[in-house]
Amino acid sequence: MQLKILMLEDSRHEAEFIEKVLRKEKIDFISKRVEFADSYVSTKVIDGDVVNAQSIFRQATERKKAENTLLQHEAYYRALVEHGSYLKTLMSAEGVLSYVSPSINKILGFTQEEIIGKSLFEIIHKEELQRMAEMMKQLMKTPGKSFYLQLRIRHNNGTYRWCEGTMTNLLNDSHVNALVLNLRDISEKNKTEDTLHESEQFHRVITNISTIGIVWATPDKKVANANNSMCEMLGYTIEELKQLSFTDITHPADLASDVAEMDKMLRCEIDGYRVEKRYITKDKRVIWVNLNISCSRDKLGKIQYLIGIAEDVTSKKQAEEALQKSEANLRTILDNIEISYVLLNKELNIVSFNNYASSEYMEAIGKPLNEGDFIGDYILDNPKETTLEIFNRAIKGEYIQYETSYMRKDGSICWHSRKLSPVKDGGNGTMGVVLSMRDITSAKLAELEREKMTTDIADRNKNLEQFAYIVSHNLRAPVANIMAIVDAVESCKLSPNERDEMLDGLSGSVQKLDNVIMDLNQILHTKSHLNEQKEKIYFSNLIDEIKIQVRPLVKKQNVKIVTNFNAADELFTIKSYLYSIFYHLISNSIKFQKPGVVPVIEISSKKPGEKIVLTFKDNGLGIDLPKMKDHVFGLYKRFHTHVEGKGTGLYMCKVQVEALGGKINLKSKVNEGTTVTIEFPVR
Amino acid sequence: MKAQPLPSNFLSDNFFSAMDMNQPSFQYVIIDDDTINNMVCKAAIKAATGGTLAVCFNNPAEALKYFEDVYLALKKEHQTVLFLDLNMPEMTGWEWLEKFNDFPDKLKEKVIIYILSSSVNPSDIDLAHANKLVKDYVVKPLTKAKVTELIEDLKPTQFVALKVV
Repeated sequence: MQLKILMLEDSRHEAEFIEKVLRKEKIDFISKRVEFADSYVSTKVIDGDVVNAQSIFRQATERKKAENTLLQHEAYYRALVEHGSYLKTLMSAEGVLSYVSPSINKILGFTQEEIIGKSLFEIIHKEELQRMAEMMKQLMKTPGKSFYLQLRIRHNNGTYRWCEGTMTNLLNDSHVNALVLNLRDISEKNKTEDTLHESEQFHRVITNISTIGIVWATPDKKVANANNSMCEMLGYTIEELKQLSFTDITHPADLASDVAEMDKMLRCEIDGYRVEKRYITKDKRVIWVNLNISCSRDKLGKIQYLIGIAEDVTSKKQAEEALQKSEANLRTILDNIEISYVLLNKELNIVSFNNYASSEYMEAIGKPLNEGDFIGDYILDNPKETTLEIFNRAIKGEYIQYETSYMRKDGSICWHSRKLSPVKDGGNGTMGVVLSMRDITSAKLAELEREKMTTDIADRNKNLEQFAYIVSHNLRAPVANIMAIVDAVESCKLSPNERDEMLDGLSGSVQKLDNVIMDLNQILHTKSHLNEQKEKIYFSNLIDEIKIQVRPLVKKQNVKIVTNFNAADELFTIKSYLYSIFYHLISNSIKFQKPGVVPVIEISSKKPGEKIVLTFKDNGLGIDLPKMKDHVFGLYKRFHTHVEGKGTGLYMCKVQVEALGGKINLKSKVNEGTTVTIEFPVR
Repeated sequence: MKAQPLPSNFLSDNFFSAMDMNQPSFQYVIIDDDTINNMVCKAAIKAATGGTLAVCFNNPAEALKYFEDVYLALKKEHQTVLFLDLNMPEMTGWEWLEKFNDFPDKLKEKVIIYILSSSVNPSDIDLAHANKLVKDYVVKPLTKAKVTELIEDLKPTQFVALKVV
């Protein structure tokens, strides 16, 4: 089919058309102009063959003139379109592209040649396939209708571009016979929109946040705007707030530092700051806020707005203060109490302790308590294992209270009353144990002293009672004798010889009575003691004096007295008492010497601590101590009858030693001598 | 203090000469370190019994020896009344009793023991009453009247004792 009624300038198009057909290029339509008539030939080409060609000739000279004008506009428009950002395509119902405008290159990086003949579905995003297919289906049902669409299309470089546009079903339009898809790239637009959207969203969110107060202020610190919660927080309406400046609502005490920071920001030194400060509300309440101040600046860095974000932390702050206060109170109590508290964990390591505990340990062992250390390293108890065993029992949940003593580093004895209270964990176990230790040394010593005093008093009482009976016995004995003699003289028929005997007995008894009374006088005098002045006595001098007194005996019996007072030779005491004690002990040693052995008396002194210990050791007969134990220092107790004695010597020694505040002890074995030790306090 | 020598006649036949075998009569022994006491006791017993001489020991150990060595050897089965002092050096009355307790019952049956002491200490008196060997506690002085009283008390016991024997 060939038409040769072509205008010259149209024939070139015709030729091109024919060529294209021969090259099996896809051609949708072509219009050719014939003089006086419009001739539109539509051809459908499938696989290169022209399967359908429609030619429409119309007499349209007049209209054509008008149309020419239109066409001129269209060409202009088309040029605009084709070189603009819009991509115009035509495609078949199946999506095969039959035409793309040259802007394809600008928009998607393809050449027209590369893309024509391909399916649209090859270059749209996978995720769009479904939507696109459905839209096409819809489009088929509604010829002539346009749909707006947005879809992602693959760029030649592999990226996807957001495009928007319209798709129109012009399949039934005999002039077009295609789906018309016009698109423009909106990737950039979308991005901007997203940003805008986001910032709007953000704005809305922060303004509506109920718990966070937000306030805008001008650089002169005037409130420009605030959100609801800021208004609520401060108790002002937004209108009232706008009349105020930062300085009006800030607590005076917090103002200076706040303003200083703000000025720094105004000087561009900082971009924002965070502060915990107090606001004063409209009803004059003080509230604590955690405030973040930032600013927005213009391009020159000048501040446009100050933005404050405030969180009401009043209750938190109050709780914190209350906690701090109560903790401080507890700590104050704990640190000022004179009881050591040590908190131990399950492994018996130190978790915490109070001041007193630390200072007590410092004093006791010379190092302060250290958190994390094993408590065993601080225990001076002997044996340590027993104590650790007790601690471990407490760890197992037992509440324990006990008293114990230990020796400090300086050798002093310290008494403790200890309590171990297990610290329960949430369940049935224990987390650790609270060890509280009270120093009861003074109380304990007082108690021991009291006990000793009680025993002493009981002893003394018993001794006094005994003394009374002994006195009565020793007084009664001669009295009874006198009574008996009187009775005998009166009621018995006595020979003159017997009468003389009785008279002698009477005289002896009276003498004995007098002796006892004299002894008693001396004892009572000593017991009511200490009227005499104390003076410094040298033991060596005292021994010399006694030696003179007992010289006849010493000489006669060849007694050796050996002294050693190197350790201590003096005592501040009552001389007559000490003399009497020394004399009695020495004379006893001489009296009760072992026959056939040269008597040796060794007298020495020692000074352990705040006392003086004197030792008198002889090699004499000794005393059967197991038997006589209770009577050694008894009044009128005698253990030997072969030499003279009244049984008052050791008794008097004891009375005098005790009157001087000392103690006397005796060790002896029969035939192995006697050792007497006397202990005096130095002062 | 020296122990008083034993009476020179205490082993002789006439040691018990004053005793009438048909009458309840006793040998008297005194153990006390106090010689004056021994003298007056002797006088009181002599007066109360009509001439019986008491045997006196100043040293308790010698009294034990007497009972151990001599008394058992005696064929005559006389009862003995013993006055024992408590407060003596070397051996107290209590210690003496402990040792005496080791003697055979045959001997112990024949010795009636009185504690004779000047002590009025209740604990001594209680101890004396608690001791099976002790008949009673006598507080010094021992007078003629007291000895007479004791003998009176002993008579019925003596008869019963003789019947049993």
